[in-house]
Amino acid sequence: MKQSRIRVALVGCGRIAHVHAGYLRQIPQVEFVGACDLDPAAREAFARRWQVPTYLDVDELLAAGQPDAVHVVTPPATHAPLARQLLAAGLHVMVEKPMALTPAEADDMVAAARAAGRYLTVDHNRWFDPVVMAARRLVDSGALGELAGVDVFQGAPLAEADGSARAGHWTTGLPGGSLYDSAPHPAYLLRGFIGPVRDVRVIARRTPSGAIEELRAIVDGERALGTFTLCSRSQPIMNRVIVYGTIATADINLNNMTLIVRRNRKVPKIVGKVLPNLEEAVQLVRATVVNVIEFIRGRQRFYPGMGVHFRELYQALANGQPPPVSAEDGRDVMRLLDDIWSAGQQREAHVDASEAV
Amino acid sequence: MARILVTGANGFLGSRVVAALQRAGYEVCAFTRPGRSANCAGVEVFEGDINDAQALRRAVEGVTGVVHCAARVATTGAWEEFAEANIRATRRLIAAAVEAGVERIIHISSLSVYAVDTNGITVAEDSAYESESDARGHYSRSKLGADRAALYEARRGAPVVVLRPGLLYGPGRRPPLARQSFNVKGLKLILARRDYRLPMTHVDNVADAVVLALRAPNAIGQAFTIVDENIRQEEYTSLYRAAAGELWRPVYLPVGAVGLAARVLEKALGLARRRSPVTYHQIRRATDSATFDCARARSVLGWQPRIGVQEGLDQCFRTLQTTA
Repeated sequence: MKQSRIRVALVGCGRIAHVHAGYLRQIPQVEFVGACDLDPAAREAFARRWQVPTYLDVDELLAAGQPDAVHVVTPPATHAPLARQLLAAGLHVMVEKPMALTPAEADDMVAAARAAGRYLTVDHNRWFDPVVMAARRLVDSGALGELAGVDVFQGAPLAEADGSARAGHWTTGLPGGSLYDSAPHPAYLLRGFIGPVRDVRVIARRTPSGAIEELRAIVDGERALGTFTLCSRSQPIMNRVIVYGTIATADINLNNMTLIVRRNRKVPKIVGKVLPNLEEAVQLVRATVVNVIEFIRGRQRFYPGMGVHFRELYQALANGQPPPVSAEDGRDVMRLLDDIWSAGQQREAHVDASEAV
Repeated sequence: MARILVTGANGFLGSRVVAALQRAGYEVCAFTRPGRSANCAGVEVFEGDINDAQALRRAVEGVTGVVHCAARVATTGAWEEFAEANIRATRRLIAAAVEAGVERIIHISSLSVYAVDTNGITVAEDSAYESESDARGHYSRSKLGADRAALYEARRGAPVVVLRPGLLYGPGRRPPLARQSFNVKGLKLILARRDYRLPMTHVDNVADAVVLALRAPNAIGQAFTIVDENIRQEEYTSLYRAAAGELWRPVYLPVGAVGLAARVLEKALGLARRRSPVTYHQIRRATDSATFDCARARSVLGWQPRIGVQEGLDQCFRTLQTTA
């Protein structure tokens, strides 16, 4: 039968699946055709909310749903085997972050995608958040000058870090404890700005139970040096990216969706103490007003980058262009995370450049 | 003698399929839900849950063909019930039949699997499927999934033939007057254009198609649309009134206005982030019609409708009067 739109389904009907469904519904090239989950209650709730079929498992989804592409939104331990199975069945695959549990699994997935000749991509959603996109445009256009350095800061609650609040949740079983669930965001944001990684140095502190509670990494990328911070104790919990340029600096607040650009002003020193503050205030107020209006109009939603990413992905797929996040990008982020994590196993450690990428 | 298992053998279509198979010289056995085999006289009956793999294995043993008529046909209920009864049951039945070496499996699908997105289009077996999100409800969605799954198994080597019959009518039931109609004080309000094409299909004509599909050499792996006649609503209404011997007056509702009202309701409720009980798409499905092309069934199966619409309607109302 003729197909006009790309048939997309979800593997997994959990919390994030609902977010994926909401964005998939808005993409003109996509026909959202259903989801599968082993849990009948999750299936039924999903079917009721989205009025699409839900299936028992991947086998039933492939037979009765026949999607062209799937988003794997199950716990990360299942990503590699599911991706291999789906790619082998001829489907394009997006996996939620983290892409897998180990770089070896990620290598396997990349090889499977190449063998199948299908797209494999990872949901690096924050790389597409409107504020990050705005900063990327500033970098690409040269408005910040040359890239001097990048700091990424990811806060995560302590309770989450040592697993006590989410005992039994899949995130506590990850290689670096539940912090590993949030770590991919700063990792891909950093790599996105500074480029492929040449060297990583890490210092980490652990709780008495052995979980990492604070971690600082200095990462040498092809385009610039960067720092990577995972901070489980500071309050309020902040998600920040600062992109330093030789002309201006972009300060991204991912919690509040604001972007402040600081520039050098050739003004008398006394004015220079005041003007930048006013400029920051104006930028903050403007961003806040815009965000409120967008929220009221129902256009400001959680995970806004996800919608942008999906749109770019399916436009690319429809036009036969490479995906905005390649399987290799995902794999490199896994390697960076693994380097940071293995280096963080000791109190102080250094990863040699030759091992880093 | 070739032995055929019929699921849903007690049903409206299933019972006629059993009769047609017996007339054609087959030994017939029936699979029904527990306690539902009352009108399966003269055939061996397996009672059981269609999702019980063991019960299915027992039923398909020594069988050369399976005709899968059983389906959950309802307008209410949770998705899971439809998925179990219509998708999973079909897959389990096909798996059990393949394992038992059954030579042919006839899956009874539905015209609702086709997208009718433009009024007046001609639809054949290779036309587009209805989309899952546009399907009218759980029944349509689950039949769509079952149809896809049956052909998926066929591509993997299962000897499956899919039949997609039209709007079924036949003896024992009052035939439908239209897709949507309402009784109001001696009037019949019909939600359709006068030139709406009703894909009327007599159950005995489908039963004929089943017998042919079990034998036709090149049928495996294919789907076949089975529609007796794409009859104009207005013509059908007068045949219907004559056959029923009734005096009511048909009133054709203005479908454009009803569609517009549905669209306004949908937008208004959408702004309040609520789902409309009636969608524009549903109205369109009720008012836009297609001509269903059955050339493939004629050429590959050698099928043609033995009972025409007028004869079929006369027969229906005659049997209704006799039983009344």
